[in-house]
Amino acid sequence: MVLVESVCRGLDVLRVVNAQADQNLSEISCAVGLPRGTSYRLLITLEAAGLVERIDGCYRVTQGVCGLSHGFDDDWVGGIANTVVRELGAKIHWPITLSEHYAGHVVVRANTDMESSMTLEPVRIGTRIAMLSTASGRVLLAYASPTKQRSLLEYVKASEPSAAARLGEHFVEVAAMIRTRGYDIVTTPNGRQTALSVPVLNDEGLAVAALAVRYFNTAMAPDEAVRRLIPALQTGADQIGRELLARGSMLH
Amino acid sequence: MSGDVRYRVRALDRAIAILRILNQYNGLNPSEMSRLTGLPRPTALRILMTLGEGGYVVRSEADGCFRSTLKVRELSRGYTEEDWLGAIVRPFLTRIAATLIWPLAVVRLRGSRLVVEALTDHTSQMLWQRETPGREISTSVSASAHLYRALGDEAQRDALLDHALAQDKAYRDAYGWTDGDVTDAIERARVNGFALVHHAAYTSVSVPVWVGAALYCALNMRLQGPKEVHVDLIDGHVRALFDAADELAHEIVSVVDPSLAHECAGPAIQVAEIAP
Repeated sequence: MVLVESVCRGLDVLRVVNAQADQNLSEISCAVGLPRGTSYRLLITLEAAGLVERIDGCYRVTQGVCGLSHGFDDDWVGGIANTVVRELGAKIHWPITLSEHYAGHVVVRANTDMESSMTLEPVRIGTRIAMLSTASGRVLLAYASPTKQRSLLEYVKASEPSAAARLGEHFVEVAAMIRTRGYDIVTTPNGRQTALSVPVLNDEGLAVAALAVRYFNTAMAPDEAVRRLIPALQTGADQIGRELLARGSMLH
Repeated sequence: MSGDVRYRVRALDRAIAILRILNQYNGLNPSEMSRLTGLPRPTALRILMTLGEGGYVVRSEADGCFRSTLKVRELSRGYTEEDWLGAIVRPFLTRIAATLIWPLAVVRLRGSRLVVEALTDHTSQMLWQRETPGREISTSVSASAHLYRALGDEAQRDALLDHALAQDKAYRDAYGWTDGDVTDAIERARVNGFALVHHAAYTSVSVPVWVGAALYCALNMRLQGPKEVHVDLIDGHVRALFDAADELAHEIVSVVDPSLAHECAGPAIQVAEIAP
């Protein structure tokens, strides 16, 4: 596919204006290595878009540049977690899933469902799943701060009344149990599989994501599954957590 | 600068629009991007591929979606926010967000534009769609607009009314609001002392931050989910927001004009009179 050269040039100009404020057209052209006329047209475009302003012939960035970052501007799953998820999937063969929560839902961000020969029902990336009835959702809730846990439970109780009736009222005790053992274990809705999930923690000990594995109930008993699968899951979650910390990400 | 429109570089305009939208969503495929930008899908894809080549976005093999990378921060790191935002508002929002949980924003009237000055979306997992600082919001259908048009001084109300009449029709049409709906919402905000708007995907609440007798800015909270999910909890959120707004007002006064510190109370508020 043919790339659009003026896009790259325009963003090069914007980076130069970011790097040093109050440069004039000649200085910016020189720094980017473009003719003055080309730089001028790119600067006009950036100015009209509200990203730079010209004062006395010199340019500086405006608050508008925050609209190009400061939102979803760190694809940490693609940058860090995918590799760990793939390696873990290759090692233990059962399908691995990495999830985050957004408001009161769990969102699948990465998995090995299409690579594992032991996947019963593949889950599409981006699928939203319930919080209170899944191992990953319960882990994310259990490892939230107390105030966040309370707010999320209020939200989930109102939006998932049936699940709340079964669990919501007693979740504080459930959360304590999950935190004590460090993982959660829940049978999937089809009744034929069980999911084990552990948290990916930040430096405050709060969950930023959950790493889970699903296995067939006929393959092993729950205590054997915990013994065989949890250490590998926790190693993977620790690795993701360490790499996130090392990256200095502002994530969550 | 408007006279120079013919010299503008169209592809760069489009790339900027695409980067802005990517910051709002946690991953978009080319078709979704085409729909949101109004660009033909091949055009959107070509620009996304160009941004990918430059390292600004990355495409996930798993879901085919494009997402921004850390490199986009190079496009904004030269911006230094105003003193009151960096010294007071942003640390305040970070601190208070740990308690209030739902995403918070400070909105201020600049001329005739309502601008999101600072917000906690960047690190929040409580919304599906994030906003960014510097974004201009509707002067008709947003809770902060209703608050300013209800409680602001005459000059503030006039500025917003002119802007709303001249430029905000597209917002009203997009949200299906009539002029009467806007008038009713402003009246509710005037009676209640705060503004509340239920959108399809989220509920937005704005309370005033008074510095002296002036409406200095609005403190806003957005609650993801349909109206029914939050309706029983709104009272508690509003009370917490008012407490936070008082705290913010005192902190702003310490920077803006210390002589006004004793005048921060603003009009009395009756939270029980909520009229959704």
